[in-house]
Amino acid sequence: MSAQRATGTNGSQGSPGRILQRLYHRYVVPDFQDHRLFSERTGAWEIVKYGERRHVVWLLSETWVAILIAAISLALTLAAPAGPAQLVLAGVCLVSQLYFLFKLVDWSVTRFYVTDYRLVELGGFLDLRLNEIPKTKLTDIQLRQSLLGKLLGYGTIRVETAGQNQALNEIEYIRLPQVLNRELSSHSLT
Amino acid sequence: MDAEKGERIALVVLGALITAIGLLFFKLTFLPLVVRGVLSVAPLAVGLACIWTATLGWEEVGSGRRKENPEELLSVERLFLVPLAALALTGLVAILVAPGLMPVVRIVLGLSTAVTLAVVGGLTVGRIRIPSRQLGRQESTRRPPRPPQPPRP
Repeated sequence: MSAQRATGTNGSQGSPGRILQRLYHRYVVPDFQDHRLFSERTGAWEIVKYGERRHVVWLLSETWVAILIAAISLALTLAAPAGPAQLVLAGVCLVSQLYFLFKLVDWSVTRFYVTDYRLVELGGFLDLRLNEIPKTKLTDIQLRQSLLGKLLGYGTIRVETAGQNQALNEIEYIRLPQVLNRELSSHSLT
Repeated sequence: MDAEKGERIALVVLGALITAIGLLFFKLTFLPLVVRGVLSVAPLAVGLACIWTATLGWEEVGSGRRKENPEELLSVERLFLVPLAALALTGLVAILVAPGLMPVVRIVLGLSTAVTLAVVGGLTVGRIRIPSRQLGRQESTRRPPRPPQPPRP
């Protein structure tokens, strides 16, 4: 099996839209198409069985402090007289907003995929984050879903392999965890 | 009555109960208004969210039957993002109309809040599309026939 770049099927390679898209995927948000694997044995690309992002509850659990700070500092900025105090408060509000914005975009572009060969986390805004585990190396899969998680549609998946250190140990607040569990266990535990 | 319908009815009843608890908190007149408000807002929000999930926002979450548009946000997720968009919109309006704000503060904070509002609003209405799982299916996934195995000795 080897990693290959998928050839485009539509549009010219040098068109401005194509160039912008390549730059966007190279420097801003990664493209899953670049990281697919091609099997010489079967002559086929991997098939994506599951592709979801984390649930929005993860975003809120990561950013609620920043949201609170941004709201409070904005209210204080509006009430403060013009001067250094207003600038400092506005700076605090700006930093909190940028932190929230970064987390928001990072959340929206980070994906968890299950193909017929591996479990992949691919994402990152401005940086690249790629973690993967071959499904054949999975030994244990745990699914945890609280009452709220069942109501809202998120859960935690914990996977274990034979190795000591693994790339994806615990995936929290994943959407549709029962589907992920089913797709992971369909091949790995047989 | 099928199980799904029963589940939705049970969720509506649960939401109504939680909402009633929130209203009861507000009736406790011996408490200060702020305390009553804080105590009643959370149950009210949770109860109304339960009722909304069971009626307008119902989806086959977790069952694996939700096959169409997996890139779209769940309705419950939109419900979480709408208050954030409302908060950003309120902040933007306040920044634009507030008197006594320094011009640089008004411009910089206005821009950042507008960008935040655009991203949150775009995600809420589902206009921002990101790497699609469908990309993995554009190529042919048909496997060639296996070559005949030589007979075992």
